[in-house]
Formats: sequence, structure tokens, C-alpha cells
Amino acid sequence: MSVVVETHKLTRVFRTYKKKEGFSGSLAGLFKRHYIEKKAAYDLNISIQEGEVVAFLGPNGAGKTTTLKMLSGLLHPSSGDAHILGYQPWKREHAFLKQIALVMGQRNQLWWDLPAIESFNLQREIYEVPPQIYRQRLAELVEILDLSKIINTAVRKLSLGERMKCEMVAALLHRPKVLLLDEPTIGLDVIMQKKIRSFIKDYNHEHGATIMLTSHYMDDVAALAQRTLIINHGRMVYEGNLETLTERYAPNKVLRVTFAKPIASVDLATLGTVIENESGLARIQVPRDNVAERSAALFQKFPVADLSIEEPQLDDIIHDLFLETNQQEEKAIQPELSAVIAPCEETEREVVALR
Amino acid sequence: MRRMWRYIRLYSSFLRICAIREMEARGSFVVGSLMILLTAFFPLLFVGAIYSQVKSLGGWTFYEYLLLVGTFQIMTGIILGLFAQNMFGMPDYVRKGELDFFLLKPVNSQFILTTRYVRFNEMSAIFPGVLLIAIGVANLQLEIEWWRWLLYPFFVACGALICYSIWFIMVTPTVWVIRLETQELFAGLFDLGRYHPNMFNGLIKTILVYVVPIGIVVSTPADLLLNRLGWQEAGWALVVAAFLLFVSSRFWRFAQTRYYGASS
Amino acid sequence: MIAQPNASKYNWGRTFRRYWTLCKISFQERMEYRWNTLMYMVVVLLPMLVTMYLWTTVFNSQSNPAATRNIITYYVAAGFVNWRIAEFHWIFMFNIKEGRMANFLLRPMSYPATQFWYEVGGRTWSTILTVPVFAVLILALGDNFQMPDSPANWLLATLAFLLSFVLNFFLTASLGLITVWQNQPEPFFWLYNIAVRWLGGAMLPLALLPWGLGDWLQWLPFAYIYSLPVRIFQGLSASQMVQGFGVQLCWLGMAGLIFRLVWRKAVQRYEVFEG
Repeated sequence: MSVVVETHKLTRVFRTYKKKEGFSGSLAGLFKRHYIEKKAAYDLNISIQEGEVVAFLGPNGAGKTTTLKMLSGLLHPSSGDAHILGYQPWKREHAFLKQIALVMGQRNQLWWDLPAIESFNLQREIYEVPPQIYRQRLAELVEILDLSKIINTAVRKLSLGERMKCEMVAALLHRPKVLLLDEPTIGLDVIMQKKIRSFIKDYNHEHGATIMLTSHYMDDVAALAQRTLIINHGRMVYEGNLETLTERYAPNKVLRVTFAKPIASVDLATLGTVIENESGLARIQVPRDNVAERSAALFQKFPVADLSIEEPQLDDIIHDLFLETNQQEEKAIQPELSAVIAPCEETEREVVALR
Repeated sequence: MRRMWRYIRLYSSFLRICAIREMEARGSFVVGSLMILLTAFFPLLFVGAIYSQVKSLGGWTFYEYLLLVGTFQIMTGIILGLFAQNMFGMPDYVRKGELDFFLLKPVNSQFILTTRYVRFNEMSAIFPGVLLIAIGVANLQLEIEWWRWLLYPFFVACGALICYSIWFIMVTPTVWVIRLETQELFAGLFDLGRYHPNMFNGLIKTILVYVVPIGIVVSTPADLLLNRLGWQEAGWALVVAAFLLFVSSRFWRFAQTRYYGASS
Repeated sequence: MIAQPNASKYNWGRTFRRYWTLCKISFQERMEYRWNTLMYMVVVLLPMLVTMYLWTTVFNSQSNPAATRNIITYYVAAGFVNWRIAEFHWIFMFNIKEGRMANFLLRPMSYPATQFWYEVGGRTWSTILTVPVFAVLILALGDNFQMPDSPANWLLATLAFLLSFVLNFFLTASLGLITVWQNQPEPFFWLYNIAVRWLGGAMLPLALLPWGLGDWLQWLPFAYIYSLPVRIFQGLSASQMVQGFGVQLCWLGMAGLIFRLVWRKAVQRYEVFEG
């Protein structure tokens, strides 16, 4: 196993012009412009092994796409360094570009007016895939993704899901060693999401490709990623797999109990924190380590009809994590904040929207 | 050589795809071709208007001027057919983020950006151009040596290259100045090509030949046919074409560093 | 009693305010993109000056100073009008092709009106920017530029221009809607633009066209998009004025009807096409 992706203190700062509201604001902007610096990625140290699937998770504007763009070579970092397959991505040497692919869920690289097959043929020409190998790969991909019926239809007439499948094919014809996926399942229905997910997984298994993806959907991340990097405000706030995340940030589990007859909350309080207790149905929060012992106690003391143990929702944990880091961030930049409050409010609003 | 071959193959792929694409919209294709043929004769109105007032303008008589107008039409056909849609598309590529895809291809990004779309439809403007030249030559009773006819396409290509480079240089800043719309700027500039620099006095002539050399794009091949092209002018056209192409590719490289946000 | 929404009475005040906001927004947006405005200025001025110069040499060779002055005034005024002809066909096409029109159709305001007022705001901004440039140009031209005799010329020319803006809106918007039926409508747009330039008087005054073409072109709409405001600015007799406005209003009415029809058909078609 070799390291395919390695970054060292990768940082990207954006400077944006902030327009004041209204007409007078525009007028003022003609003469003097107020710029804000925003750290879209800050001191990122990432190391990814060959064949690993890694997910970037974070609210809108956290810096996921910026990071992905730097790793694909579309953005030059402000400072820091990165190597992918031994290349510095932003030099965009053709030898490097031939080994990677970037798929963006919201963007389209197929010829709009033409059947997807034409785009594939062109892709072959661009990446110099030998004709025989190309035919073989295409046939394979078409079969797996069940595209034979739509491959000859103009792209503009395809549904979003069908288009996404075709995008995938276009990106994989040259069999990239590193695959970067930016929101690959965005806007797709649940069934299509599943299909794309399992397809990515199979591609990873079969060809040992290294995959980095960003997604809003927790299911994508849970199903695909062996490791998750959580980013907020451009900083890495967590790195590891999702199970450990649950253990670390959610030290409690919830016992969901149905009693034969209603029990008073006061009586249950000895077991843990009672979240809910109504007509014989209760939810009790207990420390992760004490689950077995407390459940046993529960059975001994009360007439339990049914018991289930729940993990807290991953979504909730991550939301808490974001809020927590947001607060830290706000404290850290308090002096700046008094000058420009709006951008932080914006990210906050986005975090709420994410929920 | 292998690289050259590769780009030729890539270009023929573009041609093929664009041909398919245009044939899909048959109605537009037929109507479009007819319209282009028709509109190519509009500039004749201008020439007609001028020569109803004077016999000769800057040493050009009506039929001589037809050669210039004809060449201008041919140039229009080439520019519109080969480059226009690509240049028009640039701001959109940036806005929709499609530029990213072009930049990630293991192919020269300037090449793929500026040659991807070909419109055969617009190229039909070449035919009336050829017709105008034929009318002019017939009425002037010119005997044009065979080698002039051979060199003519070459200088037309030179002119097209100059136009291409100027246009691409104009479009390039869209990469960092969002919503910069330079299409009309080029159209306005290109329009000046319909006049011969000799029709103007010192300052405008100098500008059209040396500063923004749009004046030599059409006049050089037309002069060639009329046996008015000196060695200096011919050489100058070649130098300008090569130089501007070089500048455009350099400028594009610079623009990319701005796009990526490279400070160095 | 429950207050009934007064559906029968159209709230003009509210509608106006809504479009006024739109107008202001696009005005501000243009201000953000200052480079474009600068660029357009060059676009318009450069060919205008060159063509003007050419005609000047023609008329100077005939030693006809009146004609020279006339042509210079024509090109300056035409340049000013040129600048403001909006291209709704492209806007409509992009909105249809990129599926944005659906969003607009769902809003409780008219899509064509939205586009219209949005453009008005933007054009107002560019007008404000050009006025000083043209003022300097006119000062520099001095005696070569013929100021209109009476303020009525200014007023009537402005009126003709405003009407021509609406006429151009109806025609280009109808053209843009062709996209619903034709996936690649650009050739139609090109044709229209070239026709307006050559048959409308942007490239040269219609009166100078050979073979008496100018007289025939008085009956086509193109002359009323371009040359009418310029001609009024240069001074027309009362009867010419009446004829000019008369034909312009006829075309305006006709174009308005055509647009209504095309719009209705296009929306129907769009719904089927998208659904």
C-alpha cells in the first residue's frame, strides 16, 4: 500500500468583495471596495492510501469543494503543499490528468444536444484510450449501469439520474486511479442514489481506485467511506471512521422501553436521564459503557414488554459538532467579527439549512 | 509529430460531432444556410451607397472593392464557423463551472476551448464571398497568375489566425472578471476589416495596421489578388499572425494562474 | 366577515413597485460590472467613428459641407441609439434552454415583463454612463455636429426611441421564443440582427442606399427600431413626422399581437415539452 494523496498544511484564502446593500451601496462600490478574507481551507494535512475511499463532510461553504479543487489541480493553494500520485496537482501535467477524474453532481460535461455515446467517443480520443480497450470498457460500464437504452438519446432528454450515470461513464472510461466526486448523488432519488453508491463501491473494489468524495447525504458517507474527514470553516475538525465518531462525540445511547403498565418518571431516573415518558413508552439516555448493566436493572425492577437500544442519529451528532466548532470559530475571530458580521451569519444559516 | 497527429485527430472528432449536432436540427440548418447566404449580400448595400457618390475611394474602384468585400465575407464565414461559438461560450463556461472540465483534460486547454464547436451553417457565408470576388475579377478583366490564387488561401488563413488571436485575447479576461461580455467588442472591431487601411489618413491607418491590426486581415489577401501587395506588407501579416498567436497563448496561461489563484 | 381579496381589481401600484424594484436591482448589478460598460462604449464608438470618417472623405471630395455635417450628426445620433438596442432573443433562448423559464413561470409575475423591466434598469445605467462620453464627443466635433433646432426634436426623438425599444422587445422576444420549437434558433437571431443593422439604418442612413431601396425600407419595421429616432432628431417635416410615428405605432401594435400569440403558444408548448 502506498500513499496516493498527501497534503501538508494546505491552505486557501479567498478574497471577496462585499457589496453594501442597496443602491447607495452599489454607488460606493464603484469607488471603494471592501474586501473580506475567508479561509476556505486551513492547514489541512491529509494522507490517503491507495484504494481508500475517503469522504469529506461539512456544511455548505465549509471548504469541501475548495479542497477537492486543490487536489484535482483546479485551484492553486495560498500556501502549503500537496502531492497526488507523486504530482503537484496544480501543475496539471498531462500524465497526471490522465490518471484522475473529477465528477461534479451539479455540472455537466456531456454534449447537451447529442447522445451520450458521442461524448464517450470524444473522451476516448482525448484520453487516448486504445479502441479495443475502449469498446470493452464501454460495454462493461453500459451493462453495469444498464445504459444500453439511453446511450443513443440526446443528453438533454435524459433524466437527472440517467445523466449522472452517463457522467460516471465519461469519467471512468480512461480508468482513473484517483476519482474525485463532488456531490455525486445530489438531487437524485433514493433508488438512484443507491445505484450510484454501489457502482462507486464496486469500482473501488475492482480496480483499487482511490476515491475522494464530498456529500451532503450521510448515507453516501456511511455506505462508501472507510474514513471520514469532517471540515468546518476550512479546518479539519474530525478524522476517522464514523463509528469512532459516534463513540467520541455521542457518549450516550438511548434505551427505548415499552412497559406493561405506565411507570412514573421519578422511578426511572435512577437508570439514566429520562427524555420521554408517556403512556407506558419511555426513552432513557444512558452512558454507552453502562448499557448492559442498566438494561439488566430495568428488567429486574420493572415490567418490561419490549426494549430496544438506539444509537443517536449520525446527523444529530454531526450537527452538534458543527455548532460546537462554529462557536469556537466565532470566539477565535471575535475581533474581526465586529467589523464584518454577515459572512458568519451566512454560514450559520447554511448550517441550519443543512438540517 | 505524433502530437500534431493527435490534435488533428481530435479536431476531426470535433468536426464529426458538430456535423451530427447540426444535422439534428435540420430546420435551423436549412433556414440558417439560406439566411447567411442572403445576409452576406447586405454589405453590398454599403458599397453601392458609397460608389453611388464617388467613383473611387482611396484608390479603389467599385469592382476592385468587390474583391475586398468578397474576401471580407469569406473571412466572416471562417470566423463565425470555426471560432464564434467557442468564443461566445467562454463566459458561460466560467459561470457554469464547465471550464473546470476543460482544464482537467490532458489536452492543451486553449485548443480544446477554442475549437470544440464548429458551425458549418455559418460557414456558408463563404460562397457569396467567392461569388463577389468572381464578379469583381470578371468585370476588371484581370489576369491573375496561378500562384496568386495558391497564396490567397494562405493569407486568408493568416488573417483568420490574427482574428482568432485578437478575439481570444479579448475573451480571456472573462476567466477572472465574471460577466465580461466582449463578443460585441470583437464584432465591432472585426467590422473595420471591411475597409482598406489606405482609405484612411495617417492616424487611423497606423492604428488599423500596427496597433490593432484588424485592417490587414482582409486587405492583405485582397491586395495579393490585385497585384498590390508588397513584400513588406506580406511579411508584416505573417509576423503579426505568429506574434499574436504567441501572445494569446501566453495570456491564456497567465489567465489560468489568476483562475487558480496562483500568486506567482 | 372575512376580508375578500379583491381579485377583480388589478393593483397597478403594487405591480409597478414590483417592477421598479427589478429595475433597480439590474441597475445595481450593472454597476458591479463596470468593465462591460466601458467595453461597450468602445464597441459603439470605434466602428461609428471609422464609418463616419469614411463618409466624411466621400463628401469632402465632393466639397459638400452640408452633407458632411449631416452625416456626422447622423452617425453620432445613431451610435447613441445603437447602444441601447437590447437583445431579448438571446436572453429568452438561454432561459428556455437552461430550464430557468420554468422557475419564472411559477412566480406570480409576468415573465416577459420581468425581463423587460430588468433590461430597462440595466440600459438606464449604461445610458447614464454614455451621456458624458457623447457630450465630450459632440463638443469635440464642434460645428460639424448639428444641434436640433428646437427642444421638440429632443422630446419627440426620445419618444420615438422609447417606442422603438418596446418594438424591439416584442420582435426579439418573439424570436427568442422560437427556441421552444427549434433547438438551435441562433441563425434566426443572426438574421434579425443583421437586418436591423443594414435595413434599419445603423450602418448607413437609409436615404443613402442605392437603387431607391430607402423608400421601400420605410415600410419594414427595422427602420422604426433604428433610424426613426435619429431622423426625428435631425428634423422632419410635420407630415413626415406623422407618417413616421403612424407606421411605427402600426408595427408596434402588430408586433405586440404577434408576441402575445407566440407567447401563448410557446407556453403551451413549453409545458408539454418539459412535462
